[in-house]
Amino acid sequence: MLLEARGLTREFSRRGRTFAAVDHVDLKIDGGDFVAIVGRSGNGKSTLLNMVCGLLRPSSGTVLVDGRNVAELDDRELSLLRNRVVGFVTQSQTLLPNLTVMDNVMLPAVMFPKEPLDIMSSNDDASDDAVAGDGMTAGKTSDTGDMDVVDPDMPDVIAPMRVEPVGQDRSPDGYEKRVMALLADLGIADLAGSHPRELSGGEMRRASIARALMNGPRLLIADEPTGDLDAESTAVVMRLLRSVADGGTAVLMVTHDADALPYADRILAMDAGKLTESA
Amino acid sequence: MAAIPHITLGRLPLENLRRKPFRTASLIVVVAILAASFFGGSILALNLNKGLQSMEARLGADLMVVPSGSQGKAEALLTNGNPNTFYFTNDIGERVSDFDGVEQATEQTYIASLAAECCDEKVQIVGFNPRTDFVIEPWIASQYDGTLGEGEVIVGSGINVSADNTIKLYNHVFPVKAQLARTATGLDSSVFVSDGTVPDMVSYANKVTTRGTIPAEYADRAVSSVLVRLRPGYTAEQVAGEIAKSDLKGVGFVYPGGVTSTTKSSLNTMLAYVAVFLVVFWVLALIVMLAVFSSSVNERKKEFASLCIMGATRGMLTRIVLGESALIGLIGGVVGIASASLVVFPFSGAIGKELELPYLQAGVVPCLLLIAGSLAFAVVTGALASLASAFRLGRPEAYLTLREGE
Repeated sequence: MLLEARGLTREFSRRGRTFAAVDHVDLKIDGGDFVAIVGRSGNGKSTLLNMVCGLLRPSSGTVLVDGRNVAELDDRELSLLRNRVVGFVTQSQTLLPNLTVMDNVMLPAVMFPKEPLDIMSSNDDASDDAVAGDGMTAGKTSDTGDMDVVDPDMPDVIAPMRVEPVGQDRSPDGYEKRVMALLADLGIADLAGSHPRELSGGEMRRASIARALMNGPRLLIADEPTGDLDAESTAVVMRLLRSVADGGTAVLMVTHDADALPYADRILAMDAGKLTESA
Repeated sequence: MAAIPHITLGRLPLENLRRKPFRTASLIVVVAILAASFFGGSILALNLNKGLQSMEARLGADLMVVPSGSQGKAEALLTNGNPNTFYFTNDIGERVSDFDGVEQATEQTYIASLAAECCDEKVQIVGFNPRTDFVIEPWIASQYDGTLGEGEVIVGSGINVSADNTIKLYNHVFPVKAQLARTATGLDSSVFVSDGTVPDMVSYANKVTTRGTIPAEYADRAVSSVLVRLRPGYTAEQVAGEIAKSDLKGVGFVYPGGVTSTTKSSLNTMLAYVAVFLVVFWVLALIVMLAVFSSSVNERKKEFASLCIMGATRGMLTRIVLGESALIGLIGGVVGIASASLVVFPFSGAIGKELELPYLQAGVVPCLLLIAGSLAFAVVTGALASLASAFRLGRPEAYLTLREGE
């Protein structure tokens, strides 16, 4: 099990009154699962995501990521976990304005230069066959990476990511190749030298996804990834997330965008901090 | 592929500063002014202290007996005053050495040359007795390995010596045997001759002018002051009192220790003003930088949240903020120290004259130490200014702070 939350609770205090933003949440996600959490704003969705990746400490309960209890990790271990196991696509634009798209995407890879970065992500399981055709094959990849039967009810999904792993090549050139491959797969390779202020909302979102995927995460968290996007950009981003899940990465997405839901395998609802299976 | 090496966490502070040129330049200017003030003020204090030490060393007498009414002129001669001529008309040297408490006494003669065609410049001519002198002779001996003969001169550091190593005084050309190092006292603009040369000097002077010089009849026994070294257990005031009570009339007293303490007091007052100015300016600069870094961190909450998400440890965030401010401190420090150096080193002489206090340029090593200290001060000030911001980012759950208002 890649992610397991047990009785996860986070309380906050407002005007002297304590309330639970996340209230005894249980959640299990395995590699290749695409789970969407829906709910109105202020119901604790983002708080849950932040606890999953250790940005917030739970008031009670536990989160296990890749078998490790997040609450028991020290700052360095937790940061390393976020850097190597988890990829996070944020709701708002969080690309560093001073860096080019290339440097933004590369940054996670150079944060722990002394720690070996073996990016043998499940992405490399993605079959070249999947992109051999028109590159927009609708379908779902199983955990083993093989293409499953095509589901005619699913929206079009772009080809699974086919980024080369850089586990054997940690030189700056190796990182650069990986960044360019990621950007190419996301259709923004020509923007590698641009700064975030030169990009549209959709392009920034894709750059953020590239950054989240740079270290080959096994758990991708997306917080309202389509929040400020138009329908066309929403579709592009959701196809990307679907393809990532198809490549074996667990995807946990929070959204209140109905258009995003058909791409998920499971939909959960969050209301007043409580998580329930959606009808 | 790319010529520029790719991003590293260590390069982030530099990139952040590069992308905010106006903010960066403003902060650098603040630190540069601070560093320039600190370095300038410190070098001023250092040089004044060295000048005072030099002055104390040169004023090696405990008591100066001078003609009554000439005390001011004698003090000016010891500090940075104009050249003067004054003399006793009686034979005083031997009399003074007979008083109780006097261990050693030596006579000096002072003549001011003229700012006229007869002389290269207006200087203080000091005649001394090399056999009995205990004030000037040891200093001269430390820099001139020889005996000063009759008709020869040794000049202070401020005297312009002609290319053929001579100086013209009262239409007479004197060979210059040595030029002494700077002392930051009136001795720098003095010409030293042995007592045997004094009568000739008086004679040359009287051929040019009769005003402001020693009359010819006193040429052989002209004495301007008797410098006294006291026996242990006697005070200058005590011995001066005894001399005053005697039948020696028309004598006045100068206490070199008093001159030094007056100078020291002026110097301390000035240094106190400099110190207060520096502290006030430092606090203001710190507040400005604190405000700028604090608002900058607020503006950049998303950026830091983003780094957290990517896996930056609290230490990394702290290092980025401290790195930026330390870089500003370093650049501002270098600019400030370089700017101050362009003023304090080339214009050292002019500063000394303007201050009217003994001002002696400190050596290379103290200056280098001061440069290093000033640079460290600028870097530490820069880092200190961002400490609060760094602390906020370094707290557990800093992510909550970073998401405030979202």
